[in-house]
Order: sequence, then structure tokens, then C-alpha cells
Amino acid sequence: MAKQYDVLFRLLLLGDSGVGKTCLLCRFTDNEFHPSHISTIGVDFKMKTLVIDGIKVRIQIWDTAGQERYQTITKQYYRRAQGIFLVYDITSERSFQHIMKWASDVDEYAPEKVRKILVGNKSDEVDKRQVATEQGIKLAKAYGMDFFETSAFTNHNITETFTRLAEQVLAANKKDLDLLRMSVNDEINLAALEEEEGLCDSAAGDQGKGCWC
Amino acid sequence: MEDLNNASPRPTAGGQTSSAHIHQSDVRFQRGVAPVSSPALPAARLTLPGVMDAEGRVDESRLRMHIFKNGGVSPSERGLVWRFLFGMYPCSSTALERSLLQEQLVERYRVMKRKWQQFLPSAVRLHLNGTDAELVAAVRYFDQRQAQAKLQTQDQPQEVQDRLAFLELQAQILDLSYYQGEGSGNLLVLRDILITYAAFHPDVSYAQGMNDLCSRFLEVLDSEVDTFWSFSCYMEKFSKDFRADGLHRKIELEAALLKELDPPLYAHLVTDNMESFTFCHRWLLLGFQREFEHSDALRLFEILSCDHLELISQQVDRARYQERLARRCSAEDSPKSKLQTINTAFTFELFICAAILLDNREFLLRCRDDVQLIQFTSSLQGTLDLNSTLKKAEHHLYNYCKRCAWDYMNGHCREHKSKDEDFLYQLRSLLVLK
Repeated sequence: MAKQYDVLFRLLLLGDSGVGKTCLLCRFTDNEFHPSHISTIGVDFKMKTLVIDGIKVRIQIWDTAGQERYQTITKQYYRRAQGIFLVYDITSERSFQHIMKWASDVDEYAPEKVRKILVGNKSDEVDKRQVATEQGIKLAKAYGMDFFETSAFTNHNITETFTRLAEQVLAANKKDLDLLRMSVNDEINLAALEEEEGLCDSAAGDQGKGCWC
Repeated sequence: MEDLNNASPRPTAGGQTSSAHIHQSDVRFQRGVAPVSSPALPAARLTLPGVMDAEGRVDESRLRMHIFKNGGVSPSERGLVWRFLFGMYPCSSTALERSLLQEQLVERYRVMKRKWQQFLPSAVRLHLNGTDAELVAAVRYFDQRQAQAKLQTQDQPQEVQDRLAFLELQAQILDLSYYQGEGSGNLLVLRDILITYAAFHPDVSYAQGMNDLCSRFLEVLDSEVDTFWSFSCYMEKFSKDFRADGLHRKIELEAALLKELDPPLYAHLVTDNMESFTFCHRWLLLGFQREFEHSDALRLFEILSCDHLELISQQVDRARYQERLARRCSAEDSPKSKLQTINTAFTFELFICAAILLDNREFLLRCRDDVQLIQFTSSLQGTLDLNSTLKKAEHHLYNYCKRCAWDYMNGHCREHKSKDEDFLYQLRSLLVLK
């Protein structure tokens, strides 16, 4: 059976409770929006396949409970993440301030080369805005991250955000991937090589010595 | 001895009478907002045979046994039963005493609620949709106030205790009809109950998931005050599981139990990349509230809360302990009864969880990482059959107890061949299934 994807990445959604992590995920994977959902207990995940530069990228997006006390459970999921969404709610100054805390946790627990992206969700709630777009841009710049304002409600910038992080992770893993590609090409050669080795083996067997195996 | 041998588990928690309950509770009512209190209930009578005396006192162990044996009570009686089961009404109280108690509880709740409303006036007219700017602002105010109080000295710990917890209770439980339509006001009621709880339990405060549980109480009790007190009683026992340092407690116990019941499966699930039983966490924290169909989930919550099996196994354990003490007193004994005892921390819910795991043993053994485990957990949501799960869980519990008892008896009989009557009697009462 042909493989349904070429590479698989683990992405992680982080941010305070109620900023809309689960809603972003549901919008992206199922194109659904539930204004009210059941709070995430511990962790959960959804998957989706994107095609980037002709490569089928399977992304596995882990959703976490935002409440601080749940971090004893969720932190163990950081170490295998390759990309992280740091999400705040533009109508909540507090959730924006907490991004620094989330970012430092990521530094501490996630792999060094993890890619991050900053997301200000609920951009449709203009009247309630507490965090200016410029603040988001500034913070993202300070951390060297890309930044998107999104709305899971109106489906604004959702695909763009997820695709961008996937692209970045892909780029970061490009070297590995190139190796992988080469090995795919090599497979044929390898098969040929194995045949040769087989011949070699029998030849070695005949000789009865001079072989490592 | 033969009794022990032949004691085949006869599961009862999923008995036949329960099927009638399911149908009844399937009929969901579209009700309005829950009243503050229910003044008629203190005098109401339980119809369960032999459970309530003429003055209205309740025979607690009989009530618990009844719930367990019949696999829950009928939905029409559930509201009253839960008031006793969770301890809002003491079982020893008479109907007369309860009506006084009810008045006190109403008043105490009113005072508590007014207290946080004074501190957080804007919360009174908060809307439910989304994360509320006002609430966030108010919470920040309280955070600052707390910080100031800390700076000033620690002279006013009580004042600090009044700090209010952050509640991001969005309209989260809309899948239940009780909270839809006219009932949507119940979300506000729920929020008030949770804020009041959080305000007066700053060490526990509010944790995601509490709303799931509290909403069950409100739906069944249909009264704000009674829900608050019953929920508080429940949390006395389980709040530790909602604290940061307690979130792992039940999953660690579950792992320990599975190690006893099925060492190979245990060994497989604790290997790398499995994230050590985290996939069971929600089941145990929320008492499987999302895994079974709604009315079954309520029934399970009731059965788990009646602690019937735990109480019996504790009796057995106590009997054994007393016996051991007695033997130690008889001088020449070597005090080396280090034999395996029944671990009373293994509650019935852990066996329910184990039953689900063992039921899916082959599949789990094929799982190679946490992704597959979480997928497994999600695939089970709302699909499990309660009666058969109960039967299997009971079966595992009895087998476990029986094995512990056998280990003990074997060791014990080698040393002593007499005076086991009392202990044997207790054991029999457990294994022959009351």
C-alpha cells in the first residue's frame, strides 16, 4: 500500500485556557466552529494532511488544557513537538502577557530547534479588543516568530497560520528530509546492492574466509 | 474453604432492574432555570423498601447496597437519594431536622455568595460568551490586591483567602438539554456555584473539568443551594485530584492496579512514548462522564459514589488487621505477616478503567505510541456499554480480592490452623457477594 504522506510532524497548541485553541483546531481540521465546547482535559489531538512543495505533509496537532495546573500532564508532550503555536486572545490582555511564560516553558521543555509561531485569536471581536495588532507584531519580532491574527469564528487566517508553521517545520527539517529523499532514490540502488551482497556472500562462503559475517 | 473456592462472582451492579431506568431517564425534560432551593425535599420520603424509618432517618449501608445491587436508582428518586448519598443530608437526620438544616444551608450559601459578589460586583451581570474582559479585569484587581496584601505583611491571611479564582466557564455544557433553551440560564447558576466554591476553597479554586461534574449535580438536584453543598461534599473527597500535585494520583494507582491484574499489558503501556497512562486521565478525573451515554454516565456516577464494594473490602481488611493484632498479642508469634494485603486505594472506578483496558487488551498491545492510545480513547467516547462494563469490573475486583485473600490464607494457615472463624466469615461475606 502506498504511504498516504511523505513526512509527519507533531505540532502543539499552547496558550491560556479560553483563548480558543480547540476552536482553531476544529476550524482547521473539520472546518467547524462551536462557539462553546467542552474544555480540554489533559491532551487531545487531530490530524490533517497538507501538500507543501509537492510533499505530502501529515500534521498531527496536539491540543492541550490551558490551565496552569494541567501542565504537570501537558509538559510531557513538549519534548516531542517540532512546531508550537503560542496562542493568545486579542480581547484578553492577560492571555497576551502570559505568552512570555508559555515561551519560556517552551525554551525549557521543548527541543531546541522547535519552530514557534504567535497567534492572536478572536480577531472578529473588534469591540472587545485589548491587545493591539502592533503589540503582537512587536512581541513576535522580539522572539523571532511569525505572527498571525486569526478568527476561528470567521475562518480568518486559519489555514494560513497552520500552513506557515508546517512550512517552517518542513524547512527546519529539510536536511533530514533531503537525506530521506536520497534514501528513497537509494532504495533502488540499495536493492541492487543487496543482490550484489548476496552474491558476494555466497562467493565469500565459497572462499570460506575473508568475510566479516 | 470450599465456599471460597466456589465463590463465583455474581455481578449485580448491572442487574436487570436497571434497564427500566435507562428508558425513563432517556426522556429528557426541557426545564427552566433551577430554583435556588427545594424546601419540600427535607420531608420527602424515599420509596426504596426498608431504607427510611418513620422519622425519616436513612439506613446508610442499606441505601448504598441498594444502589449497587440495582445498578442505580430510578431517575425520579435520584434527586433525593443524592442528597443523602453525597452527605448534604446526614443519613441520621430526621425529616424535621432536615427542614431546619435546609434553611441554614440556604442562608449560609446566600451569605457566601453575597460576599464574593461584593468583592466582584461586575460578576453579577457578566455575560457568558467568550472570555470575559470584565472578569479578567476583576481578577487582575484581585491579583494585585493579593500581591499588596502579601507585601504589607502576612497579618491578614483571611483577607487573602477571599481572593477569587479565575473562572473561564464558557457556555461549555450545551450538549445537555438541561442547559439548552430556557435552561441556558442554568449555565449562570452553575457559574455562581463554581465561583462560590472557588472563592471559599482558594487552595483548590477552579479547575477545568469541575464544571463537568458540577453540571451533573445541578441537573439531578435541580436546586442551586443543594448543588453547591452536595458538590462541596463530593469535593471534600476528590478535590485533591484537581490540584496540580494530585492530577497524577489516579493514573498512578491505575498503573499499579494493572500491574497486579495484567503484568504484560502493564509492561507494554509503561514503555517509552506511551506517556505513562495519561490516556486514561480524563476517564478517571471525570468518572467516565464523557465515555458513556448521558443517562448511563449519571447512573455510573451514582454507583461509583456509593462505595459499596470499597466498604466491604475495608471490613475484610479491618477484620484481618484485628486478627493480626490478636495474634501478635499471643506472645510467641513472630510478627512477620508481611503478606500481600488488599490495597484499599484500588477503588471500584479503577477496576472499571481496568475492565475497559483489559477488554481492549489485544488492541492496546498493538499500540506503539501515545498517538494511538489517545486515538483509542477518543474512539471510545459515548460507545461503552455500562452494564457489561460493570459486570467485568466487578469480576476483576472479586478476583483481585480473592487472590489477595488466598495469598494471605495460604501463608496464614501454614502457621496457624485455628481461630479463623471471624475472619473467614468476613471473607465469605465479601466473596459470596452480599
